[in-house]
Amino acid sequence: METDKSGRLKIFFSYAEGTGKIGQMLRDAAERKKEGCDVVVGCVPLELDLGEKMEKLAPVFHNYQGNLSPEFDLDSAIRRRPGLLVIDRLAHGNAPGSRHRKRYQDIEELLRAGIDVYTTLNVQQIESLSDVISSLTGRPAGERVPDKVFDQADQVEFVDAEPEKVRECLGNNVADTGVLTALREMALRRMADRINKIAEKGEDVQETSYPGEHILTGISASPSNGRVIRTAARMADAFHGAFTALYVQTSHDKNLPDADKRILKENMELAEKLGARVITMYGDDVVQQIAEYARMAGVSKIVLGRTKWIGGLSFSRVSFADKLTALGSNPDIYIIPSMEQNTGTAGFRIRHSRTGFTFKDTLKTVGVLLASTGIGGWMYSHGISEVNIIMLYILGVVLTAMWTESKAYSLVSSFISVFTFNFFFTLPRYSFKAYGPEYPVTFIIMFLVAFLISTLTTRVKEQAHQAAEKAYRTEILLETSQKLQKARDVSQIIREIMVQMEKMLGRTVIFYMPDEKGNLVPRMEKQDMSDAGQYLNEKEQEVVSWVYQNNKHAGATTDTLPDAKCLYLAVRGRKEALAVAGIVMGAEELTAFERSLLLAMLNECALALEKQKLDEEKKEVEMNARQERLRANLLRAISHDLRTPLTGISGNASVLLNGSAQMEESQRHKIYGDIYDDAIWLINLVENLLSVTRIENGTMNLKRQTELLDDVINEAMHHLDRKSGEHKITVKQEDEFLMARMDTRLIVQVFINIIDNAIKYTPAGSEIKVHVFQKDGFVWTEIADNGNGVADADKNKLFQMFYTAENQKGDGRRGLGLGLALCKAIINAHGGEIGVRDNSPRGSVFYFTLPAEEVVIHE
Amino acid sequence: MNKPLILIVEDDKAVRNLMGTTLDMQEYRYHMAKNGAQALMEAVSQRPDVIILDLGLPDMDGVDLIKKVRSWSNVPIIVVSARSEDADKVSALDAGADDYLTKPFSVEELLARLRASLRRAMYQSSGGVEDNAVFVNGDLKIDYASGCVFIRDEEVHLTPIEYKLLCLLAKNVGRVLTHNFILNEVWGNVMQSDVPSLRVFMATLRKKIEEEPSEPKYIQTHIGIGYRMIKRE
Repeated sequence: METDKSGRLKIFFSYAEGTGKIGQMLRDAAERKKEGCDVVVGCVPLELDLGEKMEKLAPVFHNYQGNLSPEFDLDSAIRRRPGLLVIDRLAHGNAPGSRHRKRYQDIEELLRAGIDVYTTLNVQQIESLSDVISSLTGRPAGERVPDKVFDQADQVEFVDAEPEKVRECLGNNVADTGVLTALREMALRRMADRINKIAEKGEDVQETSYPGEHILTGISASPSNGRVIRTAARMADAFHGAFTALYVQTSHDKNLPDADKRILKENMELAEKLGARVITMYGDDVVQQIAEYARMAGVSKIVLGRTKWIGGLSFSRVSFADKLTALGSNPDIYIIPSMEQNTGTAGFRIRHSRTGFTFKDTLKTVGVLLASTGIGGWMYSHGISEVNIIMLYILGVVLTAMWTESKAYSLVSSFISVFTFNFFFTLPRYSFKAYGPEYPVTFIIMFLVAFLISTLTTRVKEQAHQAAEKAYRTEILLETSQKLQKARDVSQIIREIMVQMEKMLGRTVIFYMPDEKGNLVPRMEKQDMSDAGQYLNEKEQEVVSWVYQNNKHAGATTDTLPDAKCLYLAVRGRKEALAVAGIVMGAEELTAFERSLLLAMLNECALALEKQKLDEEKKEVEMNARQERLRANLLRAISHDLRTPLTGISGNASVLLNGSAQMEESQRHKIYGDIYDDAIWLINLVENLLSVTRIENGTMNLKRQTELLDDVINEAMHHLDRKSGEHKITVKQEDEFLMARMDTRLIVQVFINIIDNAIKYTPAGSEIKVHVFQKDGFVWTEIADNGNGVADADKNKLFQMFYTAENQKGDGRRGLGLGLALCKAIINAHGGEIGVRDNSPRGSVFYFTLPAEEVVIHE
Repeated sequence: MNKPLILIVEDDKAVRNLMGTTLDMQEYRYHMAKNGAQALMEAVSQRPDVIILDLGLPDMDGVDLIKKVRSWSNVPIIVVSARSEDADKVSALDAGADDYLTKPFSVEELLARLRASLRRAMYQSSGGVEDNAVFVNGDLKIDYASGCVFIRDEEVHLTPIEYKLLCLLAKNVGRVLTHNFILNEVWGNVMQSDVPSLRVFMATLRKKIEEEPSEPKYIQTHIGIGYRMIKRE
């Protein structure tokens, strides 16, 4: 789906139905077709006879609750790959079972596939304007499109018509001219806004062109909150400021009814869609949290709804704005009135309905009250004063507050405590009357003290809970980050992140990483899953590859491909998706807390993966540099060292050509011998060089097969230096059937190099013993001589490239210093070791090892 | 007896001259071909006794040339190739070549191979291998009828596999047999994992029939390629 060029989007934009934008769109498309463009009509209800016959794409039918609904067929459109696709209604919502929930997501995918798109849009379908317009027309806003789709379109053509004409076209009952005029004005203004934005982009004006403008809004579970968020978004847009949406999670929020949770999630998604940075904070005092954040983040404007923000202890009737101001908050505060009536108590109502009385907590409360009364009765009968009994009741209320979930228990318990005290322990006893004139004051104070203390207790408890949650979050992230940093390779990184995710979510996690060929390979931690099949089938794989290619989240509980069994999150690198994490979703959705934590973890993972990638690239670059250096050294050394034998060969040959007749036989023979020696030296050099060329990327490209050491040694013996006749070479094998897996040519080269070295650096007549034996799973080869030995200082340097022993033989011929270095590279590539040690009484022993091979004989 | 005729197929002038000079000195007759097409023509018209073929020809793949020649002639073919390409040699041998030489090679080596090939050709034409009930090669004698093997008339006891191996080598005396060829003939199927087994059997076989296994008289190892039985005088 990757193309170099993404498609261009042209929107035919109008303020109402009936302005003729579809006709305009089709005419334009026909124009393009005449120019030779490959035009396909995707989904347009209108037929126009334009002379040009246009290819139509057959719709795909989705079976939804027994109804077949025709839908635009995205897959076949992408397969068909036209130059231009014409498709109606950008804001259209797709039938369930489609890949995306919304058509604009389909179109985004088409554009990414490099297909140009023509489409239509009405002004009331733009997200940020929809509620303003629905209040204007009195009709609920239907399908909507995020503003950025409109703003980022490559071209927007405004299809205008007089409102009268539109009314004629649609019938007079649709809307009155005034409304239509207002809509027209709004659409034109939106067009102008868009042009402004483009102009600014052209001048490279960043979003911070009004420095310091930072608009903050709150997210809540209120249905009217969407309007607040949209207003804030429009404002952020108008001021070109940063836009943050803050969600303060209080301890009550986990008890929210499901309907409210859904609204909350929708609102969060809305804020994200409108370009807000969504931030979650924890705390019970919403006002405090907002003020705190506003101060820290340098917020300049706060946009809030009127009702739902009466937070905390709402028995004070101070308004939210007043509280914010009181907390020393500087920003301008904009209050958006709620459109719902009867919202004055909504916050309160919701707060209580969500607390819910549980049987267990009720029992605890009653128990504590009974115990207080019982002990009170005992104290009373023993003449302990009333003050102590009051203290006892207060203690009871505090205990209730500590042991129960809801604040309501503390309140009720405080009340009942006062009345039972009055009933049982004030004169006259067993009545709600009280003789003492000071008793009402006592009751009130007792109630207040009990309630205040209990409230404080509850709050401490909640704060402790939130602190614990926060600490948990921090701890998990820290732990994840630490583990990821410790991971040495990609596979470990994935294992760690999967373990962490599964630990946190308690769900099965499937990780998909692309292999070298770009295929996404699933990985699961649990191997024994019986139902793995349902998560690893082709359909799920499709979702995974979509997520990977588009670097977007999809799957269960999202807008894209919601039919999938798992939620798929892209692990986002800087440029592209690095991997895909699939989370098996049951009936339960992820909580906002889990979601944000999950995303944070995946970010950590992406960082770790990118770092790993960078490390590898760096290593590769270093390796290449080293290789280059090596080659350069080699070339220099070769060109220098080739001259000597070549001079010998050409010089001697020319002597023979010019005057061989005058020479004596013995002289000629000596010259022949020299030419031959030089040629042999060159042949050996070339053999070694050929082996060197096989060192690629620091490792040798080995062609291994199992060989009998005996054969290898015999082969090597046949290739020894001509001068080997002057030395006594013996081979001793402990076992004639020693075998090792090796690249035969290279190992033969190792034998030749070492034995030739021994011949070269020991005086004639020296003994060279080759000894082969098996020990600890390795085949050991020792090549011992009784020559002059190797100085300790040279032992380490011997295996370095271009090192040659200084005590050369008299003839002044230099070796390249390549032989032993090559041996070391070869042996190391085989997984063996090579070295040298002193022989006793004199000389040296070169040894190397190769992993031994056990052979099963097939008869 | 006529001097044997040798066809040299080699595109490099210097190497061609070297071979020509060498053959002249040994008083062989020879023809030369610079490329595959010419070689085919010469092979058909001159009926050489041995072909020396360089694998890297300018106009065609040497292996294809071998296949073409093998379709109508059994003439011994000695392949000459540059080092490093063991796989090429193996495919040439599998295509029907008898022997190979690796560049750089010495003149003595070339002459030795040439003689071996000629001997083999003569041996085959003078009665062939298949018909004889007894195979004699130096001190080695195989009595196919009784399934007995003798060294200097002393019987050697071989396992069935060793015997099969020896017979295979004897029937193809002078030819280099690749590992795959041997595995296919003796075990009936080719599995790379069996190559180590083959090496072990060869080593034991050699121990039984060679006097000095490190200086073999009969069975030569061609490392990375295969084995050959040498025709002794």
